[in-house]
Order: sequence, then structure tokens, then C-alpha cells
Amino acid sequence: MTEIVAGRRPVPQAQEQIESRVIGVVERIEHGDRAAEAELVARYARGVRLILLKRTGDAQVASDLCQDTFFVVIRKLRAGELRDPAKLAAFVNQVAVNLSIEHFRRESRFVYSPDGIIGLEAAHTDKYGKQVDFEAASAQLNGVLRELAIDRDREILRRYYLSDDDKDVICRDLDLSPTHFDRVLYRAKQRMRELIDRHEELKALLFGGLLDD
Amino acid sequence: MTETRVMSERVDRYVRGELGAAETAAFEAELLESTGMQDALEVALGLQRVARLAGEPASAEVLPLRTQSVAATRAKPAGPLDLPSGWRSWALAASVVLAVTSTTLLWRAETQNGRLQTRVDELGQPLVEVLTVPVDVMRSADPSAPDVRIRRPAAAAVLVLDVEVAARLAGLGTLELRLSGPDGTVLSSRQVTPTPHGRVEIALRTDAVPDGVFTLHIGAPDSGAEQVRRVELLPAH
Repeated sequence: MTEIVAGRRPVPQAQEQIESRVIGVVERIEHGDRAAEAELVARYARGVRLILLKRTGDAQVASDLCQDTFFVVIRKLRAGELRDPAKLAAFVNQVAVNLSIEHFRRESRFVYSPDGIIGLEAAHTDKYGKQVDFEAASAQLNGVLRELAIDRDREILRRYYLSDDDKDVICRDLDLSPTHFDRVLYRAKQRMRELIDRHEELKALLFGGLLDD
Repeated sequence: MTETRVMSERVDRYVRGELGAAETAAFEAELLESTGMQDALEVALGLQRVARLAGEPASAEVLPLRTQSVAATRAKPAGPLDLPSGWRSWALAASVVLAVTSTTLLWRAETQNGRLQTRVDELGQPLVEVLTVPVDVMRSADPSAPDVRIRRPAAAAVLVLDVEVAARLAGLGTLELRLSGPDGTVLSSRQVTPTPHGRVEIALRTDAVPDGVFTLHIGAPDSGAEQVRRVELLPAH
């Protein structure tokens, strides 16, 4: 269903509701509503992490940049620097992208203490690393790999996701029909979804804890 | 073609880098509002990771979680330091300030969001720069002279002392670190564990400390072994 509003392009109602909510969050942050800032983080954090993970390929860097992103965004929103609140998502993304382009490496993490001294924790320690049962995670990962026991299936994934080969080329080289290719990919995605949902350790192993719930 | 499949293919194109710049920006902005797209991206990135693992020796794959080497990325200064010229211009104040806040700033639960809130509130005036200064063993021939002299920057900043721990101490596990100000006041005292590279770090807000010579004691309580380093903070130009 689409609503027509004078002077604006028609947008689906669901989209309008999102925009309305987002505009509300932006306005509340501008007015100093701290709860709105937490809402902002809760709303976009997972997406930002995924984008940064894709862009950096490194869960630790992505985690760091995610924190930076929200700090920058909140500061700018407090200062009223976002001219079009409806474009909050694009704004958040642009900040994250800019930070990923900078791709600076934070060398350490700090702990702020009341005495004015900032003490460093162990450099870049991955707190999730301590929580992951590596044996369990490795076993699950081995299970995934076993499920890709057919060499050709592994080859499809490797060429598609790592070598970025075109589907047509892969099909031709491996003598596959496009339907077969799609089926392999679909099955792999379904299985991966199940595993990620069920096995926190595996998820932590794959994403360095970045996407833990 | 179902909507889900269209989305899945679009996500694949994103993961494979097939989208143009404008398309990518639009995709990412849309992704931020769509849990369905986020789910699909998570799966695609997971498969990409698995595909990578499938092509590598198993032994190299079990522990992708790693500790960042600090020392390896740092340039050594020569002689006394003048902060403004030596400063690494970290891109954003936010990066520093958030780094300063806490190691637990993750975005997973209300508690943590609340903590973020607190930290952001505390840091209304962000520090915009950070400098890491190596303080190496045997830096000075004169034990009473400061190992490093640092010119205070005009604006408040974070000063990170990256201290090399003497070999006789580095392997002893947890050490006691004590930082004293120019008047002998103990500014900080804590336990530290050297990195695998045999270094420990401590950071100061330059606006929270006076000019003068700071003394850093690093010792192993059990063995009585101790190392002393001195760092002089000079007035700003």
C-alpha cells in the first residue's frame, strides 16, 4: 500500500513509518534525550558491524570502527549536524564507511579512571576469545566442512565467494547447470543459517564474536 | 523469482563486490534498516569464511581470534620528542575518546548501551589526538636523566607510554606498575602483564598532569626485581 503525500514522492507505508520513527530518534537526540541515543545504537549496531566486517574482513577492526562510528554519529546528531533526519541510515553508513576507509588501527584500548589516568588494558584483547569453547567450535566447523564433502560444492563456494568468479564461468568450468549451481548455493545458505542460529561457538569462531547476540 | 531470492542475490553481489559505488551506498543504507538483509549478509559472510577455511590447512584455522601486536606497528622516535610534529593524526576524535572509555563498549544489551551512554556523557570534551611514545630499555646512558622528553601539545591529548620491560622482568608474569608524578605523588598503581613482545602501556591525559619528570616503576613483587623509567613532560611552546 502506498500513501501519496503532497510535495513528497510516494513511499510505501512501512517505509514512512520507519522514516517517522527515525526522524523522532534524531530529534530526541538533538534535544538531549539519552534514551534515544541508546535506541540509535540498538537499531543500527548489527548492520554497522556487518558492513564493517565486510569492508575490513577483520572482526576486531570492525568492532573498533563500530564503536567509533556511533560515537561520531551521536556527537554529530547532538550538534544537529544531520540536515535531513530521514537519511539517518545513510548518514550512519557514511560515517562507518569513512572510518573504514581511514582504516586506522587502534593500537590499544584504554580504561578511563577517576584519578585522571588512563590505563591500558592488554592491547586489543578479544574478550570473546575467552568465552569461546574452541574445541566445540572447531568440531562444528569441521562438521560444516564435512557437509561440503563434495569437492565440487566446495569449489563452487570457493570460486563464488573468494575468487569472485562469475556464475556463468563457474557453471561452464564445472559443467553445471545454473539450476544446480543455485541449488548448491541455496543448500549451503540454509545450512549456514541453521548452524549460525544454533551454535554460538561456531558463530563466534566465524565472526570473532563480533555478531554475538 | 521470490523477493527473498532477489535479496539473497543482491547480498551476494555486495559480498562479491559487484555493486557500483552508488549501489553499494544505497545497499548499505537499506541494510541498516532491514534485519532480513542483515541475516542474509551474515550467512553470505559465514559461507565466505567457511569457503576460506575449506581451502586452508585445518591447523591454521582454529583460532581466528587474535591479539593485535602493538609494538609491530609503531615507529621509533629519535631523541626528545616534540609532540605536534610527531603526532599521529588519528582521523577522528571519537576514535580516541571511545577508545578511552572502556573495553566493554559493545552494543549487545541494554546494560552495555547504558554504559555507552554514560561514557559518551562523561567525555563531552573529546581529546582529539593520541601519541604513542616508546620508552625502551637502555634508552639513556645516565640513569638519573629522563629516558624520554616530551613536549606537551597545546591542546589536551592522550599520551601513551609504550614501555619496554626489561628481559629479566618480562617473563615473570604479572608485574606491579606504579607511576609517580614530579612531586612524588603516586598517580597510578596497578598490576600489568607484559605483551608477548615484552611491553606494557600506560596512558595519560596531558591536561590532567603537570609538567616535570614522571617516574615509572615496574617490578615483580615476589622477586624484588624492579625497573625504573623516567619521562619528562615539557611545557608547551
